[in-house]
Formats: sequence, C-alpha cells, structure tokens
Amino acid sequence: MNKFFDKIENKLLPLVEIVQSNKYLSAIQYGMMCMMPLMMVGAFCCVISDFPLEAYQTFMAGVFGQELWANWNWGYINVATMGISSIAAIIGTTYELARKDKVNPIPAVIVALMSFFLVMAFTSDGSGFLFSEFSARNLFLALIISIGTEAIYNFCIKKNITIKMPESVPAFVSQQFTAVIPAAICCVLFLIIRVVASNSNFGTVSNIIYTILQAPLTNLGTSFVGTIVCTILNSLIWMFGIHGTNVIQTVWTPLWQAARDANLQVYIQNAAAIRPYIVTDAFGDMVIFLTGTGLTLPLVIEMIFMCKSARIKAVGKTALIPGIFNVNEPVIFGLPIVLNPVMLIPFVLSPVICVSLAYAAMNFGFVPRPTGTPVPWTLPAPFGGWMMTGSWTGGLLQIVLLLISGLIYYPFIKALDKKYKEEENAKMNERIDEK
Amino acid sequence: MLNVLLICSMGASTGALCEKIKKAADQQNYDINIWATSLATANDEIEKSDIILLGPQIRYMLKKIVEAADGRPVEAIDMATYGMMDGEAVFNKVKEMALNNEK
Repeated sequence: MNKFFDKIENKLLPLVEIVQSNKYLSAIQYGMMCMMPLMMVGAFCCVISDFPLEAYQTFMAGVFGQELWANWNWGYINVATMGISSIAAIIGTTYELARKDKVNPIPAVIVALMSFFLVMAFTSDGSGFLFSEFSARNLFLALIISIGTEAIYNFCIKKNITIKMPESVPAFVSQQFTAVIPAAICCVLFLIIRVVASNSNFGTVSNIIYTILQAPLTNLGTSFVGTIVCTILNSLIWMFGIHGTNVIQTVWTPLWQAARDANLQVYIQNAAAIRPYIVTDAFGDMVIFLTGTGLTLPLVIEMIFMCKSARIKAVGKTALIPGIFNVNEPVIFGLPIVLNPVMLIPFVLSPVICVSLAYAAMNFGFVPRPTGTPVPWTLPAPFGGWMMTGSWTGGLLQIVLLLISGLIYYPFIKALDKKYKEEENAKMNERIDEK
Repeated sequence: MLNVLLICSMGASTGALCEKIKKAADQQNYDINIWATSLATANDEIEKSDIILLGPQIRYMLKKIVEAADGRPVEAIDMATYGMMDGEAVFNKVKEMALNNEK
C-alpha cells in the first residue's frame, strides 16, 4: 500500500507544482487575494444593512431616515467595495505578473487600467461608465486584459522598444518615458477592440467576454458534475498531504467569484428572486470545505469523546478550535488522514455526499441559493451558512451536513482507534516487561 | 532579532503554529519575530525574513521558494510536527537552521 502511495505522490507533486507555480495562475491568485479586503468590508456592511429582522430595519430607518438607510450600503459602499472587484483584480494580477517578469510593476498596472477603462461601456446617456462594468461580472475580461497588456509591456521593455533619454537625464525622469510606447500600443489596440465590439451584435467588449467565455465556463465549473469533480480532487490531493484546496481554488476561484457576482446582481434587484447559481465561493467555503476539507469537525469531536487511544484524543484536542474556524491541518497531519488507507474512504465519501445533499437542497428550493454576499471563510457553522444564504435554513443545512459527516466517519475512526489502542497497549506492556 | 516567516496556503493554520513557536522561543529566552503569510502573497514577505518555513501541505513549492529566497534558509516542516502543532520542535529546527546559516 505504501509503495503504491509513494508512486502516486512522486507523480502528483510535480503536477501540483506545475499548476501552482504557473506564472499566470499564481498571478491571478494574487489578484483574487487583492479583492479580499473589498469583499470583506462589503460583506460586513451587507450584514449590517440587511439584517433580517423587521423591528431592527424599522428602527434603523427611523434613526437614519428612510433614504439614507436604504442607500448607505447598496447605493454607496457596495458599488465602491464589491462593485470595483475587477479593478482590484486587474491591479493585483498585473502587479504580480510584472514582478515575476522583473519589470517595473506600477507602470504596467497603469497601462492595464487604461486598457480596461478603454473598453468599459458607458451609461445610455453617455454621462459616465456603467457601475456594473467594474464588478466581478467583468472579472474574466479584467484578467485577460491584465495578461495581455503585461505581455505587451514586458515585451517592449525586454526588447528595448522604449523612448530613450540621453544619459544625462535623471533616472526617475527617463523611467516615466519607458512606458509611453507600450501604453500607446495598448491604447490603439484596445480602441480598435472597443470599436469592433460596439459594431458587433454584442455591443460591448464585456458582453462578448461574458457571453462566450465567462458564462459558459462558470456554468460548467459550478455545475453539479463540475462541483463533484472539484470536491473529489480536493480530498484526493489532501490525501497526499498537499494543500488540495489551494490547488482547486487556483482554478475554481475566478469561476466561483463570477457566479457570486451574478447571484448578487439578482439579489440586489430582488432579495426574494431565485438566484442563478448554487455553487459560488461561499458554497465552497461553507459546504465543500466546511470545517476544513472532508468536513472533519464531527470526526474531531468523536476523537475527543468517543475514542480510547491517547494519541487520537491528543490530536483531537489540538484540532478542535481550528476546526470550528474551518481550519483542519492538525487533524489531517496529526491523526493522520494523509496516506492513511483507513481514512481514505470517509475523507472522500463525506464531502461528496454532503455536497450532493446541499446541491439538491438548493436546487429543489429547500434552502435558498447563495445571495452573493461574500462570506469570510473562517466563519464557523451555522453562522457561515446563514450568512451565505441570508436564511436560517442555510445554517440548519450546515448542521445536518456535519451530523451526516459524523455518521460516515464513526465506524472508520472506531476501527482506527482500536488499532492505535492495541499498539499503545503493546508498547505499554513492553515497557512493563523491561522493568 | 531573527525574522522567521512561515508560509502556508492561506496563512491560517501556520498562524496558529506561529504563536506556539513564539512561546517556545520566549521560554528559551530568545527574542524572535515570527509571522505567517499565504502562498499567494509570499513574494511580498520573503525580503523581510531571515529564515523561511513551509507548511507540509505546500512542500511541493519548496524549490520555487528556495529560488525566490535568494540564499535564505528554507525548509518544510514535517507532517507529524505540524499536525501536533509542536511549537518547540519547530523552534529547535529554526535554531538549527540559523546556526547552519552562520557557518
């Protein structure tokens, strides 16, 4: 068995490294991280503004006035936090790409921003940009522009296609001129793209990317099959002690963010309407990775209260508090689940069953689909589920999932406990014999 | 003062370990500066550190981090130590790395 595991691990490690150290994927991941502060502030304000209690709403509207209470979050804060997530993504991604290519990052970021604004749609009266252009609806467009403009910028710098100043000109002055040619190239390029797009059936560049790329990829990645594939991959990679969630998120986060934003746009219009996507980033954190990959919190509780082996009890105690906050490395490495054939079955089975159930519950309307408000991934159950769906049934769903997960783990941890206990007893007897 | 950087995927699980390592260092009367970061933002932090440790769950990035570390000592924490959140064992490792680096 160990030889078999070793063989797979030797194949898996380089494969994971390719995904994780890929220049574009890791830069996109950095860009996604840059969106996080905006998401979290925005989410916090949504909770305050939409707390589902009639008396609270009436009271706050009384204190601040109807209009201000209705607008402070959705009218002002939301459009400046989650509403500009594509801009945050473009800045972060371009910055990290330029840094990886060892060129000056800030001018590259500025060229990318210019190109992005060049293709943004205006309001119908032409008085400004459309708010919705800057949200995650245009996430894919933002990422494509990041990669494209940084490539042009990097190419120009590396090939010395820049305006050269005489040696006597101070460096900080001549540096300002190096970005002029790449900026001009991008300027013309994206102007052409904008004009071509506006003469097509799509009307805007964002519509083209959204319709032919973002929506189909998001639909595929967040479909039931796509989600189960992601769930199984996540558990299997963790089995080898490699951070499966990180690998999965490298690919799935842009899709989940796009889905989240699509839901939010519907939610803003009408909080009661059925939202388009079941699987968003919050579904990932609050269902697939609930209490950590493998939904291990019930396992940890069983380890503390229902097991006899001293080793299992000790690991359980270390793993309890992090587990509540959706971190479970202690149990994965401590029990260990890694390379442990006994734990393989429940560690894959439990998330697959729980994800299927949650998907079904949302699909058939027992639990509302995610509202699209971001949820901090460390938020414990049942609060995470409640915040994700804007309904107490979301919290209940999490509790049901954890109970089911506990049932699935029970026979396996009991078997492991018996084995460990026997080993511990044998060691104890040896020691007594020695004396 | 020794600057120790821990890198894991999100900076969360190593964050918990950080405190335990700090405690172990305090007990042995060493003053160290230790903090955790995520893999995605590692490039921002490496320059500020003297010694770098990786969580075992991202050990496959060891080669890349060694490249980025520019001569700083880098090692992955072993799984059992990590699982038990054994701050003392990790701190002893840090001391060993620091000593080897001086030679």
